[in-house]
Amino acid sequence: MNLIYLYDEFMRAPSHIEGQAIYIIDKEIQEGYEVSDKVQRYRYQLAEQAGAEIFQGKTLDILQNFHQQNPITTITSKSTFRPVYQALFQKIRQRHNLDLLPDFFLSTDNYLQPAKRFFQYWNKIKKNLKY
Amino acid sequence: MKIKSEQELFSQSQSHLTWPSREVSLQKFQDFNPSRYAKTRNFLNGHISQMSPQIKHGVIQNRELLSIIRDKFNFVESEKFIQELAWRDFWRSYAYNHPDQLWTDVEEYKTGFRPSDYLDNLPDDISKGETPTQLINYFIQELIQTGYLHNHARMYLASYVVHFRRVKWQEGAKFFLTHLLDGDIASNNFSWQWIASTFASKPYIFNLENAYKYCHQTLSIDPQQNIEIDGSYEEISARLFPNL
Repeated sequence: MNLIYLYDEFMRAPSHIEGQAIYIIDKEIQEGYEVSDKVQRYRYQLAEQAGAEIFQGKTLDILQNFHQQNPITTITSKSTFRPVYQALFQKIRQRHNLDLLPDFFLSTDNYLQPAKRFFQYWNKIKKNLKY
Repeated sequence: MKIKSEQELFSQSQSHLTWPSREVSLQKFQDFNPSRYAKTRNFLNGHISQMSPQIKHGVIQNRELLSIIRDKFNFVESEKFIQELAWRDFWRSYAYNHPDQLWTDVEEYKTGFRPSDYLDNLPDDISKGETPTQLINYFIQELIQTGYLHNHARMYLASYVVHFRRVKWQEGAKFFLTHLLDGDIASNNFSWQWIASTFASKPYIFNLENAYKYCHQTLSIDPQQNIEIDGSYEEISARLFPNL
């Protein structure tokens, strides 16, 4: 089966992606701060709205258990700059077929062009956004 | 462990908390007017979209909002709003290129202080919203109670933490990420660095007069309870940055 791996930047799969959504509350995925109960509850509700099966525990273990019960063909998620998720995706890729959608940007061109100040960036993407 | 209900994870005390769905938010966005946004967005009661929690979580994409706006308004009317959406992309683009700088100073402080001059921990009176400054306490309480804060209030609060109280921007950034429903690590941390001057040419400061202008429509502001932020920009700058 196709699995849609939801995480805090990707709490809804685009409509053209088919599969079972899964949301895992994994306290070992740490970026140096805790999130409040309110934020966790908000994410929980988004996961419910996305029709996800919701788990708590270690992500890789839960994916493995899931795979044993329902063999996973592909896991779909979304790219991110965040090192902690890039590391996780690398580990998932060692065990499963992982398909990462491009990150969500306004402009499809030049959006990763290095720019140190906002207006350098804006001037690069503005021509793609103008209508 | 599979979770079957919200009650398994969260206390009953907040069981009333619900937020608008994607459909409700998109419906509400139909009434959004980017011209009004451009004119009033800096006021606490200004016309803002409040879509950031949904954008942060990928429930609604920037591009969807752009598409809705494009159908109703010309580019000139919409440019300011689109630019604000692009700020988020800018920070994320920078993070893709420099993920190592999410928690480290991009540049030196331009405040006349070294990083070691700043406190390593957020003082309790800030985390509890019990500072000597009434306005700041309003913002902290709102942040904790609602998980949301108007962008201008975020700027005032961040400036207060870093410059008026001389706390490392990283501690303030963590505080925001803990409580904000729309807490995006790139937008949040690089904005904190922008306020701190480690990602800008100068520190961002404010005074009571400026805060009163943008906040008095919704908040009761007593000058006697905001003495810490009272003064001209020159006076405050001299007080906060004596080494410059």
